[in-house]
This record gives sequence, structure tokens and C-alpha cells, in this order.
Amino acid sequence: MTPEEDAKQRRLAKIILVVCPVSFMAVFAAVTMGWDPGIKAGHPLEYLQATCFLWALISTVLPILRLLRIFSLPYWFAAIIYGDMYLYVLSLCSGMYLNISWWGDLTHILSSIIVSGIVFMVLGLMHSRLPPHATFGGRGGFTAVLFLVSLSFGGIWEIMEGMTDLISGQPYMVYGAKDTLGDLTADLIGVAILSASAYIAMGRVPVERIIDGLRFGKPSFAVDGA
Amino acid sequence: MESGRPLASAATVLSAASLACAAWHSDWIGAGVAVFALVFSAVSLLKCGPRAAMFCLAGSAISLAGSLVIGFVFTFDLYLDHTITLTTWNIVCAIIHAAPLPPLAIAAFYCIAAVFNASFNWALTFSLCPFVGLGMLVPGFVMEYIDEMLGAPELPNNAYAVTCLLAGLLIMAVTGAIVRKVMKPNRYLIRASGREVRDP
Repeated sequence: MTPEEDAKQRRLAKIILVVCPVSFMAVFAAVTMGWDPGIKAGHPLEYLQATCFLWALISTVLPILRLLRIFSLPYWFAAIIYGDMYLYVLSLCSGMYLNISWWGDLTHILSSIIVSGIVFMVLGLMHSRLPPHATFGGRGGFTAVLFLVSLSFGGIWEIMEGMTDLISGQPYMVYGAKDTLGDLTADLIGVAILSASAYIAMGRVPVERIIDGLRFGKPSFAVDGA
Repeated sequence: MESGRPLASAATVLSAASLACAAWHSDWIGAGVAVFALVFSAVSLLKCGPRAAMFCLAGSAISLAGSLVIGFVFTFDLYLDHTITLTTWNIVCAIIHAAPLPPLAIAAFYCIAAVFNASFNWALTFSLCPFVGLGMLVPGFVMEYIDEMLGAPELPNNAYAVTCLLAGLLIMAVTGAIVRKVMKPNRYLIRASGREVRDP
């Protein structure tokens, strides 16, 4: 990459590293000081606080990885991921998950699409670095693997939710078996949407072009002339 | 290619029987796994060699055995009769549902390789295997959800779903490690023609 591009990316990473955690902690402060639609809806205060705090921490991961020259995502995809983080935290704290019956399903579909997008990116990265004797077998094979692998992350999320409640002894994240089944159904819909979209996109543009901007490993961050 | 046909035919019959048995007893997680077994068996019948058919047969046979056990022996009535606790029922059902996943996950790689002319080395198989296997449990929960929406009794709590998924994750993580141990030193590749040994 050019020195200008590198400087621009590092500057953006530093901005995200400050703005995102601060904004999530601002929501934390608002909830703590009495912004209570989420609490009125039925969420415990400590659950909302823990959610804001954890997402403040998680939001630092991508910029730190970029500054350490380990990993970076294309701008457009990073923006979608951060948008989904804010959608989750703000709608949780404003009680939408409990006040609007379909909100949880909608956000699960959106999150599932994004997680499947991350899987797509990772598979694309693997595809671009495979040795000559290994291949996903064109876009059909790539999509089949994408679909099967992405499906599992809905399951992994539900395991995390279930274990959180088991360890804490409180029903923070699960609102009954039907909620879990509904979440997994929404996840399947999201995975199907992304897989179908990926199959169509790969028919028009090569995978390498779609994941252009994805960098992994220090050599991929090498600056021209440095 | 031809020599795999008897095995693949048997796998198709067993997986269809497993699907019918699981669906009859509203064991939708088992039915979801059986659907994958049926699809892979059918693909194996049409496209794959004996080794892929063997994995399909193993997956289908374990799936059918699980469906029969849950349908006739280890039924939910045991919990309702207070013969066993709900936790015991959850754990046993979870292990039964997760048991067919290892051979079916391997069969998935053979089928994808055969249909799309892919080639999977140890690194791809090892890294993707746990996710491919765990993902096969998810459609069963969707079938369970649809059944409940249509008026079937609801699951008593969330533990059944979480235990099934957790068992699937653990079993597939171990499977991934075994796959690596077998494939890497032997330089195996899963290809359209079946299992091959990569030139050094």
C-alpha cells in the first residue's frame, strides 16, 4: 500500500479506537443515570450495563488489529459491522427487543447476514492463499461451504447465550426455548440470504475483487518504499 | 465409482427411514440431521465413490439408530413419568443427535468435492470440519420451531437446545483434531475422484 493510504487507515483506526468505546460508554452512563426504556421493558440494569461495557471493549478489537498491522477489513464492511453493533446496543437499551415482537428476529437476520459476510471474507482470504492442490471448486463449492459453516455460528451464539445464563444464574439472554428456536430460524434465513447473494456476486465479480481491502498478516500491510 | 453404489443405496434407504422415524416422533433435530444424511447419500449415489458412500452409510446408520432410540426407548415420557431427570434426558438426546455429525461432515466434503470438483487438504478439512458439522444441527431447530408454530407442545426449557448444540460443538472439535491427525501426515486430499495422496 502507499504511505498515504497507510497513514489514512491508521488515522481512521485511531479515531474509531476513541469514538466507538466512548460512545458505548456514553450509553452505559445514560442507562446508569436513569435512561430507562430498556429497564421498563424488563431488562435488568446490570445486563444493559454489561452489554454496553462489553461492546465498548469489542469495538476496540478491529482498530487495534489494524494499528498492529495484523488484520483489517474493507471500509464498507467495517462500517456495516459497527452499524450492527450500535443497532444492537441502542435497540436493547431502548427496550425494542422486548417491546416489539419481531425486533429480535429482524436483528438476528441482520446479524446473521453480517456474520455470514465475515465467514465469506475469511473463506475468501483462505481461497486466495490456498496451495495449488487445494480449491473450493468454484463459486458453487465456495457457496456450499459458506452456507454450512455460517449456519454453525447461529448455534455458537445460542451456546454463548445459554452458558451466560447458566453461569450467571439469571435469565439475561434467553427468554425461553421458543426464543432460541426463533433466533436459529432467523439465523438460517440470514445465512440463506447471504449465501444466495454471494453466489450471484461471485458470478459477476471474482472473490478476490469482493474481498479487496481485506488484509491479514504483516506482509499485507507493507508500505511502498518503506 | 460403481462399487460405491450398493453402499450409497443402503445409506439412502437408511437415511430416509431415519427421517421418517424422526419426523413421526416429532424428533425434529434428528429429522434435520437425517435430511443432511439423505442429501449426501443421494449425491454419493449419483456422483461419489465407495469411500464417500461409506461415510454416508455410517452417518445414516447412526442417525437411524438415534431416531429409533429417541422414538421408542428414550422417549420424553421417561421424564414425564419421573423415571429420569430433564437434565439426563437433555444430555442423552444431545449425544444421540450429535453422534452422526462426524461421518456426515466428512461426507459433506466428499460430496462438495464430487459435485463442484473441489479439493480439500488437511488444513481446510481440519479448520472447517467443526463448523460444517455443527451447522447441520441448526435446520432441525427450525423444523422444531415450525412444528411449535403449528401447535405442537413447546420444549420445556432452553437447556435442550443448548445441550444439543454444545454436544455437537464438542464432538465436532474432537473430530476436527482426528481429521487433522489422519490427513496431515498421510498427505490425504479429498477430491472429486475420492481420497487421494498428494505428491510430496
